[in-house]
Amino acid sequence: MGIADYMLAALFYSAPIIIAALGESLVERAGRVNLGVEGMMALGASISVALSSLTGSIVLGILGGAVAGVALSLVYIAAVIMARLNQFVVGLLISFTGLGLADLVASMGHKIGPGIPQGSESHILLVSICIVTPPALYIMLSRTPTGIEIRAIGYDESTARERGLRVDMLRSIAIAFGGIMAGIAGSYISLALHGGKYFSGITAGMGWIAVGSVILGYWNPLGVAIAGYAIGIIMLLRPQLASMGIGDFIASSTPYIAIIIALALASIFGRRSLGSHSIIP
Amino acid sequence: MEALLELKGVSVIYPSGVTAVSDASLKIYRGEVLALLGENGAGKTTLAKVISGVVRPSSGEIYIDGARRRLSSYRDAVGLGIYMVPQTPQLFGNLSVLEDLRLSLKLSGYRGVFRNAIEGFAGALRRLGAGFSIESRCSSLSMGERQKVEIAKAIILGRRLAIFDEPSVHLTPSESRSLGEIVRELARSGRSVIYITHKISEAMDIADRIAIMRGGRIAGIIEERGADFDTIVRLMFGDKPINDSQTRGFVEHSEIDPGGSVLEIRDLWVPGNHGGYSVRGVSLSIRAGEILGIAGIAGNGQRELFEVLSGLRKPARGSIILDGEDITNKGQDYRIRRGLSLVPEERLDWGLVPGLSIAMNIAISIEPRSRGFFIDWRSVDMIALEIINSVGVKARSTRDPVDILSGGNMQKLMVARELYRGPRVIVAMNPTGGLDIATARFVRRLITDYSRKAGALIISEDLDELIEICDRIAVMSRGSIRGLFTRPFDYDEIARSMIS
Amino acid sequence: MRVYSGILRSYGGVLLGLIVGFASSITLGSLSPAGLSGSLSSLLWVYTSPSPLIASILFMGPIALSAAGLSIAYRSGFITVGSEGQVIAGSAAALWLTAIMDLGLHPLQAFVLASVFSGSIGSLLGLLPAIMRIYLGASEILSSLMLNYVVLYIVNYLVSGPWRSGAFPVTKSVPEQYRLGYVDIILISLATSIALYIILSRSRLGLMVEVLGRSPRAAETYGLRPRLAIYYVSSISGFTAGVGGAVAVLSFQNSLTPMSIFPGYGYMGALVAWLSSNNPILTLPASWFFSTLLVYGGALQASGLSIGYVLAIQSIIVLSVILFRRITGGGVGYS
Repeated sequence: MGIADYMLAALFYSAPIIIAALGESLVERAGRVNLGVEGMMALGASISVALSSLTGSIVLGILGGAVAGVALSLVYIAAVIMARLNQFVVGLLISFTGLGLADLVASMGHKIGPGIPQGSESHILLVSICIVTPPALYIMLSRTPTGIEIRAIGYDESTARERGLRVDMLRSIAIAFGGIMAGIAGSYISLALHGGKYFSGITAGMGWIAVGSVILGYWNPLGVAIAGYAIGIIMLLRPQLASMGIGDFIASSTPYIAIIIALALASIFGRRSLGSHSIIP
Repeated sequence: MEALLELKGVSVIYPSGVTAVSDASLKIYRGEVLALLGENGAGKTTLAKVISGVVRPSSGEIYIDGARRRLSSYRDAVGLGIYMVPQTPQLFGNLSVLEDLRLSLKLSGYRGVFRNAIEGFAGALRRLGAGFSIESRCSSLSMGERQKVEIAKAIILGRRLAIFDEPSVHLTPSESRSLGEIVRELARSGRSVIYITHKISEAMDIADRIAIMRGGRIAGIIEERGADFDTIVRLMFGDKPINDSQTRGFVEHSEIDPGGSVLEIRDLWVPGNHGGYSVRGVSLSIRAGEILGIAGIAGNGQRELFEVLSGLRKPARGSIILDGEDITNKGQDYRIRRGLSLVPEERLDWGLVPGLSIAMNIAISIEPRSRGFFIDWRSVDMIALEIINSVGVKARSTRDPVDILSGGNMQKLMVARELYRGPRVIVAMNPTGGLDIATARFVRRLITDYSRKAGALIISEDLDELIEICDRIAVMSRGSIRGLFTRPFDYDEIARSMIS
Repeated sequence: MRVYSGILRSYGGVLLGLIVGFASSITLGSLSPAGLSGSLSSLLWVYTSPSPLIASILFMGPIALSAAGLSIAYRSGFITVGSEGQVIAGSAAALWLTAIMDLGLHPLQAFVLASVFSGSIGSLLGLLPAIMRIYLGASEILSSLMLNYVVLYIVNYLVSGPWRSGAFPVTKSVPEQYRLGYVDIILISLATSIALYIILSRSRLGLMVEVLGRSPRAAETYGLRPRLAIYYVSSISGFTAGVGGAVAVLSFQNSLTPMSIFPGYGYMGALVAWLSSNNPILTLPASWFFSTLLVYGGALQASGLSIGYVLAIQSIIVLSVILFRRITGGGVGYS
């Protein structure tokens, strides 16, 4: 495979990670962490296959995926923003719920449906989200008044409330956006990466990796996209590494190890997101 | 002259029962500079918040341009041209000055052209002598620079009435003078300015009229310039009898037998939350049998000093010596074992743990540390009962959650617990804050009785209290000790040292 | 009277949450191929016949053990989900000791050795998030979550590679004489819960934990050594989870195949801890409850439903309970 082909293949492979990570990056800029991304992606994957198989339309499938993501994000909004429960606990619960419900939906039949062939229009369209969204998010965050407001909220919640910023509303919107992105990422996984098939575990931890990519990309939309892409490159290297005698498990673990390291570095350099509660100020 | 704004009988009573402002009536005329003068806690900021729409008065009326108005939000107030600059700059560190301004403009419902606002803003900054570009990140600005940003915002947004809350706190004298000029200019151009301060000299320089607040009330309004300094002092602090007693309250002179130094703080420098140092080279010494007080307006480094002693903050420089032993780098449990006792400012969530029983709250401090893995709850219960009874706190059982006690009882419990251990020195911050008179007296007595043999360091905003119980009083301002006073105390002298 | 209404409020919320959670789970189960009748009858069977009820005890091991340890950790405010990786590592360690290294030990010796070995590995795994939290202030939830995957991949590699026995990626089985029975599991879980309860209520560590979880400032100010407490709770929860893994292998798992996060006994331990308000004694009945749900899910598996659905039901129930607990005013949020 030529280098160009390889780079393209890596992009196709990492697209769901990038899409979900971009959604989550907005959430985290607004000051919240959504650990439910994995579940949202799984449910999105499952529902989109079910819909595409039932209706024959992949567009409806993708739409269904997005709706699935939004539905779960509504749970997050209700539990975390409104009822003020712990965001990490709720996120994990939503992930487990989403993963399980995805299997439930699949068990009703309709695990296989029309998919998105590689290189087709819809495929290109979905992948182009990865290219278009980062600069769009970047401009939104750095130039628009709403973007400034979101960044302020994520930086200092108490001052933001005192000064009358719309903390809860903007966070809810960000979370819903994250849900849509995660759901679409899920649809991509089942419809595009696996040609219209769903099976249990199809998300293979990509949701967590997406959350980790936000840290790796240091919360900058462009950085996050690059981080997701880099992970895609590494994942694609697995067969090559295997032939060199390096076990598959090393390549699979690499993204997670990278995320741990990124988390450590980010904590050292003072990024106080992730609600990191240190004992001593 | 017509009144731009009039307050009639305004009171602010918080749900907790605390009265911040009581029956305040005030007129503010167009084109005048009115100074709102008073001590900490006199109610100046609260009154200003009523005017700027941030706080709703519990009673009373507000008239603007002669018409009765209800200011339900600060957006309303800005719409009417009233804008208040906060006491501490409230900028977002991750935004640039320009972006933060954009935010303020948007939040205030500013409807003018952005470009004009930015120009006016930049111009005001220049006049204040700001050397930084508006593209700089707010986190890179010093406190003084941040304050200038806030002041410049007020100049743009307070079209009719701009309120400045202690603006010169972080400014150098020359910057304060520039500010004074800008303020007078604003007044000349027809705007009204309310200038909140605790510095009498500042008020006298800048203002056309001075409204003096004390204890939530308007104690007096000085209508002409060139008023008498002492009159103002008396209005600010009330008629205080000069405490000329040779000894502190409750205790006979002969009983005090100062021993060796129990606690020494040497050249302590502590970094603050916003860069820079909150504590600058503080040195103090407390002997056994002595009570040293630290007086000062809140926010001058006292809290950071206390946090260093409680192990929550690390000093950048300096040392702490307990009974001759350097404990600066020792763990907090070592310090406590060595005889350090702490009474923090907040009883719930710091001194006591909400949700846990009385017995457990006693255990956190007195539980003997040298025994094994298990806690002997029976003896803890006995000690707890002893402590409860010794201070007259009524509780059904030591297993009851500590939250059900009243504030006063919680405070008595906390102080008694700290003294029970027999510490060498007890460090307390605002030990009688928010207590009724009887309980406050009780707590003070507890401390003074105990410190016949040990040392005590009391950090307090209540100067009367310190004068009553301390042997010596140090005044802390801007992170350093400005003065050290011994008995007999001259209230006015100490008060002046706090505010100059 | 005030005390009683308080109890009613907090338990009322829990009850409401349980009902809502359970009901929605059954509704969801009716969507499965088994249909409403299928899921209802499976449910009835699980809760009315003795054999499934007893069988569910078998699954309790890893869940109850990790939950008990986690309840202590969560009380201190250290929210780790590393139990999943610790259970997996613990099961691998115990398998290695008993099946692969055939040491010919007396069953009791084998159990003790396996427990200590698995528990120690679990403790070690718990150290990473603890160190990152103490020295860097980094979120332990994320670091433990990521670590789980690393552990998972390593163990899967071992299971399908060096430890493989035969053509399929399955390891050797644990010899019969080492296997644990129902009574063993009950005793082990009971002993662990009681031990942790004693630690919580009577030891100095317990006091450190309770104070740290509610007021970190008080903990630091009065010399309760928050850092040490975090080391302890991460080690203890890691140890119990590791032992849970050993128990799993010695009771129902017997041999290992490459795993996914389903069923995720370690995660279930976390769910149980949250459900039980972090009370180590309450985690016992709650773990058994979750085990019965596993049996219920297993019954539905025959009609084509993946076992992951059980984790979803459990999560919905926990979410519902903590939500209602919050709404009715009880419960600590750790928010």
